[in-house]
Amino acid sequence: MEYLFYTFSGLAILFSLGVVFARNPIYSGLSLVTTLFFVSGIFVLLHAPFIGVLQILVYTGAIMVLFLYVMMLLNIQEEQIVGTRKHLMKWMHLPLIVVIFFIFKSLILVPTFSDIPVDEKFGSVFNVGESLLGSYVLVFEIASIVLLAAMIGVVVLTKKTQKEKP
Amino acid sequence: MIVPLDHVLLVSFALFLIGLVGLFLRKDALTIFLCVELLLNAANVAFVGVARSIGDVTGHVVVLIVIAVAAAEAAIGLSIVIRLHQNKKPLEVQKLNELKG
Amino acid sequence: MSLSFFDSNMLSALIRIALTTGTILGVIVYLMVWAERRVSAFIQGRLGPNRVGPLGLLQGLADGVKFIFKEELMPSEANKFLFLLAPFAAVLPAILAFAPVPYGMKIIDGNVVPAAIANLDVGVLFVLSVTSLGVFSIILGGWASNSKYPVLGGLRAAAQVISYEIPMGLAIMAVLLVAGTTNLTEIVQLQSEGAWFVLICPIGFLIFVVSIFAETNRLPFDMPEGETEIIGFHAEYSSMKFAMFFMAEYANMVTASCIAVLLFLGGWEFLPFVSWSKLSAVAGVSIYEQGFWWLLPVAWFMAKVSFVLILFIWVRWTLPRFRYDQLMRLGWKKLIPLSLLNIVITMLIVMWVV
Repeated sequence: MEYLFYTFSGLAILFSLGVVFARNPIYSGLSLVTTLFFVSGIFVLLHAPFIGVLQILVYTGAIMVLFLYVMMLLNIQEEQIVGTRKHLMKWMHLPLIVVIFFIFKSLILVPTFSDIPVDEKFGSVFNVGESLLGSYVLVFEIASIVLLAAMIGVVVLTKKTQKEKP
Repeated sequence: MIVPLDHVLLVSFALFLIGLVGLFLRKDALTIFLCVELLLNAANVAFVGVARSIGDVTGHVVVLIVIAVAAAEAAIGLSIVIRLHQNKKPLEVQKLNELKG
Repeated sequence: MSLSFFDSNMLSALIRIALTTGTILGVIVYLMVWAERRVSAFIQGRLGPNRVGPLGLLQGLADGVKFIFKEELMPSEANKFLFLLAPFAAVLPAILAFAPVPYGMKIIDGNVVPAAIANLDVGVLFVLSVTSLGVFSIILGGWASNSKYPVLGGLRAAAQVISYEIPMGLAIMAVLLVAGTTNLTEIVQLQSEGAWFVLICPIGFLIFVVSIFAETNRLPFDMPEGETEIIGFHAEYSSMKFAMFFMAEYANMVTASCIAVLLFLGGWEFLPFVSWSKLSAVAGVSIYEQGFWWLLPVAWFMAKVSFVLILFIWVRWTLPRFRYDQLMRLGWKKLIPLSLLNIVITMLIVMWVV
């Protein structure tokens, strides 16, 4: 089973490179869709089937469709990749700091193996739902308010104002 | 399946790094949004990996909330992009230097 | 458990996948195309195709040959890669969505073994998520053609499919409230002794049926194709690529009908309150354990699915096509509030009655 994990991760990273380096935004979007697929595969392998399916349902099936829809609506043309090498170098130090920090942290804090035996039901809909509506119900409610606020915000933003009406 | 947590976190980090580089390199607003989604996903991988490793389902709950927030963010962001396009503004973020709609 | 077919024998899993996929695409879709034309003809008082083979059964084969030999046209300004990708993006989710659909079961040593490619714990969610991927093909096909009408058709179709996913999901949510599980086999087992879920949430069933009509681009909501009045997203496609879109549509119809039967119409169970096990106890055979008796419920399931499929055709010739704004108004202003109301009603029923 390990080989599946490494295959999925490798492909996810490969396609995420496509997100950044594809010239056409539509190709970027499609690469991200593929990346999300493989990440969802990783989730399933890590004993999180519910999250894996939700990833496809919400991320790929709703958010990415929205992205591609808008790209098609606006008919985005290809753009040149910005930034000369100088520009790139200017920002390169920040990721570097994160790299060092991360490797450091992972060397110190993390136990080597992740194979704590978990039972069959770990990560199932029932299991996650119990936790979500039990101890974290407040977070759940706040998330719903965030979504409601976003919904109202979108309606206000995209609604044509009086002035613009022909 | 025995995959060391280090490797899961490494994958998460690689995705995060790529997203970060994209955030700095790209100039159009839509691709930058895509890179932000990549960053959120990298965080999700780390959360699920750690949840598996310590046998606690809290990580999954966090991922659910992140997905909900990502949906909200995408909706608002895309409506702003559509608004910019309606007003004939460029979608390159460096040229968007005034707030007046 | 989830992804059980990875742990079990890989070879037997591959055989199951090949058999099931072959049956869906090769046999059911083929028969569905034939039935569509014959039933349409029957409703309109015509004969329909009856020349090629007995009862016109080989007509589909002849049409297939015609499709293969047609010229493959590629618009000169099209984005070649995405143009080729779109038909595959339509067919792949259509087949994949069938993976967790059980069509019968067998009891071996006291364990329930559902006849499905994969007995997923998150079966319902899996089907929902995979079918929602079909919209990519519409967006890509419309955009990659690089021509005005397909782009507009693609935008229209994508908005329709996204909109009707919401009432469909909410209708399924009501069923999940009653069932308390997302495993399709368990949902059927819950209906075996008690009432079918269509009796508990009839509004949900209605909303679900209307939504799957819109999701699979069928009349009266076939705006995505709309060959007579408005031009759809696949106007630039020809030959096999065009046929693939239709194969995907029919495969989606089969999956949607299966889900409707499993969630609302009791799956392979005989009648409400009369399960096969009860019936077989009277007859003196244990239907799920001995011999080939388990094929009887499978056949019954197929009969139910065929009924829903015939319903698709029946409605096609009964209702006129909706206008696009009427379609959107129905979806957002009628079905979504109604499905929310349905969830509340179902909640009250679950709390006080069941």
